[in-house]
Amino acid sequence: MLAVLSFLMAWMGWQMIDRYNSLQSALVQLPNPPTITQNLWVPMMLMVVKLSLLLVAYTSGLAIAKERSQQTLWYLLINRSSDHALIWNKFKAQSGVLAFVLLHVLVMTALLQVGGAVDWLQVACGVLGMVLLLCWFTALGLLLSSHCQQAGTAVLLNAVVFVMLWILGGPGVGDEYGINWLVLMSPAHHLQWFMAAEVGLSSVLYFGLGSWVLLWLAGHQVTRLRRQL
Amino acid sequence: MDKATEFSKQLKLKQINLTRSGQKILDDVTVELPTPGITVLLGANGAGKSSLLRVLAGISQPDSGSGSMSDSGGAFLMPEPAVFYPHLTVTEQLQFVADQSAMTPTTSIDEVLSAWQLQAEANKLTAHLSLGFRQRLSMAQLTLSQAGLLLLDEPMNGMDPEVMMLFKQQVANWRQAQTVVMATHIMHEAEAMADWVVVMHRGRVLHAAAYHQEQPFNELYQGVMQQFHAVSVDHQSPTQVGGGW
Repeated sequence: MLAVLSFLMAWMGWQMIDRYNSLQSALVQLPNPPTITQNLWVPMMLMVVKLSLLLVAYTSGLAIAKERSQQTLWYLLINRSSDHALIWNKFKAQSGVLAFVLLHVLVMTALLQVGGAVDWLQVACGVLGMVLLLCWFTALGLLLSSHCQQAGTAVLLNAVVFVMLWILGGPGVGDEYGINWLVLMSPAHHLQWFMAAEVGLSSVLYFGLGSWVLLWLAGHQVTRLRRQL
Repeated sequence: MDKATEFSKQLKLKQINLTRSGQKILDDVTVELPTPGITVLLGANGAGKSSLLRVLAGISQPDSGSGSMSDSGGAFLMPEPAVFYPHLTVTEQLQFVADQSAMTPTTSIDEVLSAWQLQAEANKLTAHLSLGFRQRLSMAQLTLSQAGLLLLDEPMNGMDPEVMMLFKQQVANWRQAQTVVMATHIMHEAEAMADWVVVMHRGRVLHAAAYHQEQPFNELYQGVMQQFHAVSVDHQSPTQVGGGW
């Protein structure tokens, strides 16, 4: 799965660079041409995030639901071990996915730096946004997984919910009085701000506090499961 | 020395109540068990033996009641049926259990594999093990866990004579330093191992006492149940007994 994702990221990244090169002559005619960061790095990273969400949906979906379906949850609950510690350890175990994504980001950014001048401040803000967004989705995935008895159901549910939340942040969805109010609930919308190097407190709180609340709810669900055993 | 005074009785449960789906699974269970020593739980299906083991293991959360065990080292459970991570090999599964233990390991995985004659299966996935080897792996997990309290749910179900012999040897070793609570239907084999016997019925403890092997388990169980039914009938009102018409 990781190999397929790596291939897709590399192939799509190459397609984007090819397209950017073909537009290069037209772009330089503009009085204020977009930078390589705006025109290439940001779309590349949004593509990386979208593909990574598939991986997060899969790994976080399996995390609790598979323990339940194969009846091995008792190994983690024995000796009155803390339910919230269980969730926190599962969350930490997902850091491998984050490392995989960050490795690709690093390689792609380094390659772009070879061909142009990358805005490192914007890159740093974008990477911070990506890390926070993936943590938020991982926490959500663990919560949904803790509510499912079957691993397949959990993965499918994660994928559907993740896609819906992403679409929610898209332009033109649910516009009222010219403003799409729903986008404020969408993690994709907050990520766009980070990608534009606009790090707002509301976005940091949205991801940070949101992840904490989702993890707490997942821990609470495990406590409920313990009461059913 | 009398067996009742031989043990320090450090494992105590007081007024444990457990309800699931509106049904009372454990009803005001108050019992003291010997530490170290072997306790055998007897009872029909649905008596609450497995639920009591899960409460002792700290897996299930009782609705009320308290428990105390002065001996440290935690608990480890052998559930019925035995469950393992299917994608792990036998060695990896044992490594997982060893990693979970807070104690410094005194027994290596190789020693445990050898003791339970699992060397040939060491690299086999747990999903591909036969019933006999699953039992051996369960026992190996208990040995490796180094827990002070070992909880065994129907450990002798389907055991072949060779595994049974290994099991009896291991129980004799555990008796020296660890507390073993074993729920079983196989009474004649458990008789020889028991220091203490607890009879349960519909979530209640009807009898808990030292066992001197003076009476076969079967007779003891029948006697306790007859006594319970006699007392139950005595306590019923005449209208209930006569039908109330």
